Amino acid sequence: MYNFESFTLDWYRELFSDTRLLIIVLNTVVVALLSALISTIIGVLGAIAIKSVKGRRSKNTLLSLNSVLIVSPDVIIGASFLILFTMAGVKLGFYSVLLSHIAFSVPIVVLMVLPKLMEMSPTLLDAAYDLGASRWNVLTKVIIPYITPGIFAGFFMALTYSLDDFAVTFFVTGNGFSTLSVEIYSLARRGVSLNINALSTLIFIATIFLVIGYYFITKQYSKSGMGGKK
Amino acid sequence: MSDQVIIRFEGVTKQYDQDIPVLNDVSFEIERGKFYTLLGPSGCGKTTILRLIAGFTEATQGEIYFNGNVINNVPANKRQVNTVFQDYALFPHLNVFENVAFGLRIKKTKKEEVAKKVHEALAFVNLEGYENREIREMSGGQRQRVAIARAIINEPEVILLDEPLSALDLKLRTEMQYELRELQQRLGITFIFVTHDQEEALAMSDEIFVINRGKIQQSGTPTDIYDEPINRFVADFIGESNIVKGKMLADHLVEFVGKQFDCVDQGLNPDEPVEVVIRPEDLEITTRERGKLQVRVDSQLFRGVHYEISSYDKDGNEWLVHSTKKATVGDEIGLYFDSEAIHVMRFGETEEEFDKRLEAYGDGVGNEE
Amino acid sequence: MKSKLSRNLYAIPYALWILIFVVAPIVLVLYYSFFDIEGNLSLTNYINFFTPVYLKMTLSSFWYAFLITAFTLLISYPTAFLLTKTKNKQLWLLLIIVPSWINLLLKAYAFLGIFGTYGTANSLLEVLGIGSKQILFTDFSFIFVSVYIFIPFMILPIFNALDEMSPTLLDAANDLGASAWTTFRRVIFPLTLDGVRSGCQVVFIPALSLFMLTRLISGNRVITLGTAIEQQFLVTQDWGMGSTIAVFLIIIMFVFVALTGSRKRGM
Repeated sequence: MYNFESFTLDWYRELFSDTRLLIIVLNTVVVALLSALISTIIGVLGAIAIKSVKGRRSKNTLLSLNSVLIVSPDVIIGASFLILFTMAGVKLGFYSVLLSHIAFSVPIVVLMVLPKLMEMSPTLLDAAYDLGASRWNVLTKVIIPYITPGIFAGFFMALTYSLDDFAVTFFVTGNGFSTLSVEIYSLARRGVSLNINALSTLIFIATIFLVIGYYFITKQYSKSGMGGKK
Repeated sequence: MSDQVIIRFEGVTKQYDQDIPVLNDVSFEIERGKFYTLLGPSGCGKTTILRLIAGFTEATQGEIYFNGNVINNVPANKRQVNTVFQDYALFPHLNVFENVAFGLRIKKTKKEEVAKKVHEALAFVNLEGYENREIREMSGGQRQRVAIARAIINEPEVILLDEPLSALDLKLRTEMQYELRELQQRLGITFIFVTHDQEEALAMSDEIFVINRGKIQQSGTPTDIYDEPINRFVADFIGESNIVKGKMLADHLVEFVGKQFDCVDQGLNPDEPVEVVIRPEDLEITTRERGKLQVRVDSQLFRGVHYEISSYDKDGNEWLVHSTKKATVGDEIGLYFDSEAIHVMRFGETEEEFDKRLEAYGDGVGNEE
Repeated sequence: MKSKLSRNLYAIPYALWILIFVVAPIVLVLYYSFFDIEGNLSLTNYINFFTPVYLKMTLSSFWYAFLITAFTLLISYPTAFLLTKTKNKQLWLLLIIVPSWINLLLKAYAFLGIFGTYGTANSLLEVLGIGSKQILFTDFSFIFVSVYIFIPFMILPIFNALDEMSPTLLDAANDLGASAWTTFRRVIFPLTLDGVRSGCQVVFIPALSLFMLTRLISGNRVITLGTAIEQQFLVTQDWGMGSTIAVFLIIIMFVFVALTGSRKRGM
């Protein structure tokens, strides 16, 4: 950008020869996949729990508690998690980052799965019991297959949220552990460098792929009628 | 208790929180191999009875017997009954074959046997060749059949049907009425059918339970219930009725609209106030002089098979007449009816008392006919 | 009741999540706000918050958030309105939403390049003969970039509200003799008010708590509540004061949500 002369792949080459940066990319991907996976499991169980709650009031309380981390500003989430991990004696680094990513992804998964559960006719469960299914059968043969599109959507959302997060990670990360967005931030604070430009492009492309992937998966499910669209 | 009885309710009450009970101290027996209909307006408790039998909900009080054993605490998945749901409740993520096979798969039945039985069940409901269809590709009537096939494949002793025809259009509904009735006779098992449609109930059932406000009002064969309704509710709910207040002067003599009429009812107290029912099709239009009642024609609708004529007597009671003859609005006409057309109802009579009274003069009525 | 307990075992992870990551952090923040920097239990932080330094900061943070929300609304409403009138509205909407998928940092970073001393914006000014200016690290750049970032979040709810509105309503208003302006004022705007409210919510609260943008784009000239919290926690290491500001931010958030809370009308 400073002295534009010709196109070159040098910056990409430099990027890939930088092992420190490669480790950071790896960290980011590992945290994203693990947190998305774990938060999807917790979120699905949570959505089923919320659905099974009978009282209107307790259901609303649960839903409000669920959305606290969605509406809270990142700074507050980051700061309060920092206090939490310090108090609990969790060493700031991989585990604190992973745990906080799981924490803020869970409510998103719940919100993606819950509508699917809600639209499921209660007679469907009655029908399964009626035909002799145990509670476990009902869960694995009826509920889970029915809400699969929601589970996928939740997983992808969790993945994007994790990859996208800067603020929370910035607070709870410690020496020696960094993710891409934290790295870009510290580089950017030092000014524009072509190294980051190349990195940005890569992230941008990765994001686009994720979005396209998400789009096709949801589309395919709604087409095959699994979504139960009327 | 006879071997014929498969399900028995004894003083069953179902109450949610502190609300009025949905079912209030209900007792009845269901016999093997018959077609039963629970008939009543929405919210009367008929679906609750079905859910209690299926095991989807628990009774607040009372016992439910199945083959002589109390099943109050047996969960739904261990009961020998299967349900056809109002919205069919077919699993949208499974195709027709897998939907029907669901119960067998749960029981871990062998593959070849599953295939054989599913094929049989589908053949039973005339759906051969539809095995690999997705549910969303099926029409309403076809879904209905899949739901039935899914229910019969477990070879239950009782099949519960929760308003299964309500989502179908009129023509298909009539077709399915025949089909269900015929299916029940072929299978020879008990069907318990819930509906709010009295025509459906009259057409299909061996026995009808008329239910209102959490109580069984009357049970009996369709003709019993139609010809001898126990009270105003049943008379009104089943078919159309002209109901007026009257007074039982003596056996076989009732007074209403200021006149005395011969009738077949007996065993009531002298001068007991009663309600009198005459069905619209039992009224015959004639001249003013020859009629037993004199009324003025208020309005008239052509119903295809007959004219529906609304008329009023001098006291302001409405008299509905179904007649193949046309009347003229504004005319003074006479209405003629047989003495058997008059049905007298006592206030607050229980079903046992009612049955006893009817039996007592059974001979007299039988001879006249 | 053993069976009931074992039946609900599956809900344990989620219940733990609520306890550890939802309830505990709030309690901890509240708890820490009562400790001064030496670790003594006191109300010092709350007293400090009402000193001119912090009040001024809070007010300025409010002012910026207000400006950002106002400009965002001013641009988004007409845009959403025009969008509903276009032929391929879903496609256009998608194009407007796409930037919100891109990492906030990358967008901020792109503006560093555009607004920099040798960036595109200055080259343009140069060509126009105005001469290069200091754009980066000004109020203008901060508000400009914030508005740019928040626009999709404002357009979406307004677009949905407009799109849901039955076209027969407009015909009905027309039929009853309303002019285009009256129709807008008496029919369209009231019906989209819920959309505007939720749009304002998703812009105002984050605008109060921005901290990365203030650092990168406005070079510490703008201190929002978010920046102050980050400063206290990560630079000054005064967790007590940071928690106190966080408590106030949470209170403000609740008040704002309550004030703009959409009262669903029975329709």
